[in-house]
Order: sequence, then C-alpha cells, then structure tokens
Amino acid sequence: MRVDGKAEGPRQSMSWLHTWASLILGWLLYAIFVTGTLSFFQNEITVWMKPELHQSVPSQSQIQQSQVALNYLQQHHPNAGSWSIQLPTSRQNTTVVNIRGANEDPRARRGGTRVILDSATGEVLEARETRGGGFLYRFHFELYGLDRIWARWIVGIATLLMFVAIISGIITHKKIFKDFFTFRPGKGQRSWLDAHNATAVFALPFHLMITFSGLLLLLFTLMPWGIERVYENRGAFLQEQRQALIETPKQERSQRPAAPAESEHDPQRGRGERGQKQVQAAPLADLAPIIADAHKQWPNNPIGTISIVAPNTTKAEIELRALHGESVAHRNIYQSLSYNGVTGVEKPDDGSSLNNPSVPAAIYNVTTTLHEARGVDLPLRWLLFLSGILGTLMVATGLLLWCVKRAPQQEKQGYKSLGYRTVEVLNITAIIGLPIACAVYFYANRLIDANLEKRSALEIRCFFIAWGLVFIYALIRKHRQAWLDMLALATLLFAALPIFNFMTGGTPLWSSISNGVWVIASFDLAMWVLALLFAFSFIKVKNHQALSSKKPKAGKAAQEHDE
Amino acid sequence: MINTMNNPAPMDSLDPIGHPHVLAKKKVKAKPQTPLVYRLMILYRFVLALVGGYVLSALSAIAIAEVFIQQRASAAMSATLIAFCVYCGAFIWVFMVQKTLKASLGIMVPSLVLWLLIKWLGN
Repeated sequence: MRVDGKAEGPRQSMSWLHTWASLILGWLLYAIFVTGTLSFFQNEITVWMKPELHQSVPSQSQIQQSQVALNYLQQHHPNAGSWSIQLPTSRQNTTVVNIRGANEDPRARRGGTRVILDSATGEVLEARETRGGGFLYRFHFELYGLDRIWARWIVGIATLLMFVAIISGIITHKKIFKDFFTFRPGKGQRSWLDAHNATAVFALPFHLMITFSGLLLLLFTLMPWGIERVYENRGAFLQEQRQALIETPKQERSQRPAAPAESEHDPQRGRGERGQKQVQAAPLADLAPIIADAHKQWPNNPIGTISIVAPNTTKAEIELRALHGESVAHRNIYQSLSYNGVTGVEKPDDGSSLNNPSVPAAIYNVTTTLHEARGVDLPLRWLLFLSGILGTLMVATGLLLWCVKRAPQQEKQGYKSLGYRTVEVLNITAIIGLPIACAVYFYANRLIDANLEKRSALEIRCFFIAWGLVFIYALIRKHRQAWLDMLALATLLFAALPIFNFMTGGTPLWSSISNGVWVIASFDLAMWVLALLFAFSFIKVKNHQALSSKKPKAGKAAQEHDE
Repeated sequence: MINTMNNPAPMDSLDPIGHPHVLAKKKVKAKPQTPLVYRLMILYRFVLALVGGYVLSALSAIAIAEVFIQQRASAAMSATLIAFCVYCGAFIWVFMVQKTLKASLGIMVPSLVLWLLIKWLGN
C-alpha cells in the first residue's frame, strides 16, 4: 500500500495492513483483552468485592460442607419442593443454596430463593450490592451503556481486525522461530519489536484460539446465515449440537416406559405422580456415604452441586453433579450421579454415553470452552490467564511500537503532528488508564456505603470517571511526564489495595493465607504483582532520559514489559 | 482514522528493496502531503474489505449450508467456521493485491458466483 503505487511484495503489504488494521481499533482491543483476562477470575474479583462473605472458611471435607448446608435447609425449609446446594470450591469460599417450591421445576436454570451460607457455621450472609467481576466480564463483549446489538457488532469487528492482524502478522514474519529467541534489550525500537514478537509468538496458539472463538461466540450476531439456512431458530441448532454428543441406547429408550417409576427421573412425571398419590413423609438418606461413593467414582473431580428433589418424602431423589466438565471437547457436559433419597441406593444410569464430536463441532467446543474457561480446573485457568496477560502485553507493545517507530521522524520535523499526538494520548489513556480505572473501581467498592441504594451503578461511574480523568491528564501533560505520573499512581493504587482490603472489612492477607482461602489471598497477591510491574515500568521510564540524553538515537528504551 | 496516516516513510526504511535512502529523501522533499487519491483508495479498500468481505463470507456460509444440507448439524457449523475464515482471507486479499480493480473483482466475482449457486440450488 505505497503512496507512489510502486510494486511491493506480499510481506510489505501485509506489514502495512498489520500496522493500520491493528491501530484502528487497537485501544478497544486492549480494553477487551484486559477485561477479558480479568474475567478468567471474575469469581475471585466478585468475592473480594463482597467483604461480608470473607469470614467463611470452608472445611476441607465435602461431607462436612454438605452437612452444614443440610442442617440449615432442614431447619429452615424442610418442606420445600427441592433444594440445590452449590458446595464451596477453590474459587468460591461460601456455600450457595437454592430453595424451590413444590410447583417449581427443580431443574430450571433460574428461579428459586438463593441464600448464601457461611460454609463452616451455616450462618446466612448478606453481601453488599455490587456487579463485582461481572461488570468487567460484560464490558469484555458488550461494553457499557450501548445497545447490546451495536456493542456486539463493534466488539465483533474489533475481533475480526484482530484476526486479520494476527494472520497478516504471521505472513510479515519471515523468521518466526528465530525471532522468538531473539531479544535485544535497551536497543530502542528493536527491543520494542522483539518484545512485541515474543509476546505474540509465545502465546500464538492462544491468540488464534481466543480470537477465532471470540468470533464464534458472537456467531448469532455476526454470522447467523449458514445456521438460519438449515435450522428454524438458534434453539433447534444448539439442541442438536448438544444431542449429537450424548448417545442414548435405543433399547433402553424403548424399555423405559415399562421400567418402574422409581428409576424414572423425568421431572414432569415425578411431579405428576406426586399430585396423584399422597406422598408420605420419610427421613432423608444420609449424605455422607453417597458423597464418599461419588468421590470413589470421580477420583479427580470434586462434587459441584447436590440437588435434592422432594426432600423428606418417599419420592426423594438426590443428584450429584461434578464440578469440572467432562472434557473441553464436550461443551457444557458434566458427569452426574443420582441416588434414591430414602434408601441412598444409586440408581442405574440410563446407559447414555458420550459420542466423539464431529470435527466442526469439536473445533467450536474446544475453542469456545477454553475461551470461556467453562468447567476448567485451576491450573488450566492460570495458564489461560497468563496467556491473556501476554496477549494484553502484545497489544500494548504493538500500540507503543507505532509511536516508537515514528518518533525520530517527528523529532526531525520539530513538532508532533496531530495523528501522532492522538495516538500518544490514547496510548496513555488505554494502556495505563484502564488499570487505574479498575483499581478505582475496587476502591469505590469499599468506599461507597455498603447499604446505599443503587451503589453498584455508582461503582461503575467511578470506573469511567477515573478513566476519563486519565485521558484529560494525558492531554494536558507532557508525554513522558504523563507516563511517569500515571505509572506512579497505578503503582501506589495497586500496592495499597491489599492493605485497604483489611482496613475496610475484608480478610487480611495473613489470615486468608493461613486459613488457605486462596480465593481472597490470590486477589491481594495479584494486586502486589501488578504494583511491582508498574513500579518496574516506572523505574525504566525514569532512567530512560539519562540514557537518551547521551544517546539521543536510542529512542525509547525497553521500558515496560520487556521481561 | 485515515487522517492519522501521515507519512509512510517508516515503511520505506524497512523496505529492503531498492535504495531506501535516496527514495525517502526524494519523497520528503517532493511530496510532504499524502495525495487525496491515495487516501480515498485506502478508504475504499477498507470499506471493500469490511462490507464486501462480509457479503462474500455470508454468501459462502449460505452456499455451504445449502450444498451439505443432508448433514444438518455439521453443515451449519462448518459453514459458520469457514465463513469467518473467508472473511479474514477476503480482508487480507483486498490489501495484498496491487491493483484496486483486481481487489474489487476478487471480492465481487466470487460473491456473484456464490449468489447464482444459491439461487440455482434454491430452486
């Protein structure tokens, strides 16, 4: 794409495309990357933002955990239509129980009364009103305050440009393998390019996965045409995709109606029967042997939820669902076991087995399950999170590289052109402004009165006000000084957060570590890691001038994320 | 967005072909301003890539779903997966090709063919 229209090779034209396609929505992409990466730990963020829940320290044994929940339910809701108990996990330190009436579908996704319990004492906990990590998660693909369809289209186009940028970046790159092992620190533009390449190539499979699945997750907005041609509506399509994964033997199905009603666990049928015959009261089976049995059957998968339909009656049924998914290729399929709620005997399973998904379904399932980290265990989640950080750094270094490359020319012409200055200001606003806005969001969570009405909207307002202030600051301050000030501010804000946490009602770091409540401890520790990162960047930028006054050609030395 | 493209000089310094120094100097003296025609061409290509690429990919999704309608589930999913790749490929094609006319035809002709195919299969 040369101005003079001279012939150029594909690598040159792709380098041009890579630069400009990335720049157009680069800041938006950066924001999507930051909020998306944080969303891998949205549970942890939400727990941190509800200090009323911090006191709960679950016991190690799932039998004891379920006993606490059961005691509460038996005491307060013995005649409910159904109970469901979400046991505490490594990502949630409380027990959540859901109580439904006899006329509600026990397997519905919504509805019922939700109560949060202290996992050790069974005390009911009331948390403050906050969107928590959910705000960041929603921002990741629906932005904020925009019409949902528009927002998804904007994010979708940004994702497409990201996809184009990755592919054109790969084409531009001749020596992809060699460049990965090349890092030349303190060499100005060269170092920035190396840092950009290293973060891009190191996590390249992740970048491809996250971008492509990002498009797929928006497929009903962006590209419904193929599906609409085949199916009447999206529900039919999704149902068929899911059904293709589970194989129910045909014999079994024809035998089913003849089987005794007890082994039937169709909710419709169960309810109908309840209405006809008077259901007798009967004590609920002991959960301890059932849980022990489940642990034996799922040695590597803890129990996620326990549902009890028609508790304390002869029709009682107990169903256990595993915490982690079957595999990433089987989207949203979890193992489950059901038991008779009176005798505690396991019911024969329906003989269904898992099919291997077809190739297109497998691509969709694997990439989108990883993108959303659904039912994924903690080590894989951390790996995804770290890859997300690399992606964030890739976008950040790419944006900075645009300026670094053009800095000598700007210096030569003696003034900063409007386009260049715009990119400079927006870089500061996005790259450092967004983390500051997140920190302010966390502070606002604790500073705004816990009982105030509509406080969650106020928290979000604080987030955007902070972001806007950084923009104004970047506009009026000199470029380098703005970077230094904002990096210093970010360092202070993040370093103080763990201290602020226990001063405003949260669990202090030492006690969350000694109690092994890593949900809270890891948030506090992560804040300090971020503070270190910003402090390191601050020192690099600060020392940079001394270097450039001696060697003016060095450009911006590798300052930020060059490790 | 297009306004920020002030000068492609940094590209030249990367360019290994020819005599970059002489070229760069000449250009700075002769043309400090980017010609309007060039800017319009870039704008046109972005529109072509975004809109034309989308039309092409949507048509290819419909065509693939239509051709393989016997295997409903796989057809619908594959059509969507491939459509996104076509979109990306079309985008890259538009900027890889030297001549703007060739870039336009490269999007329009396949779109037309797919459209005719869908019409023909629909009957």
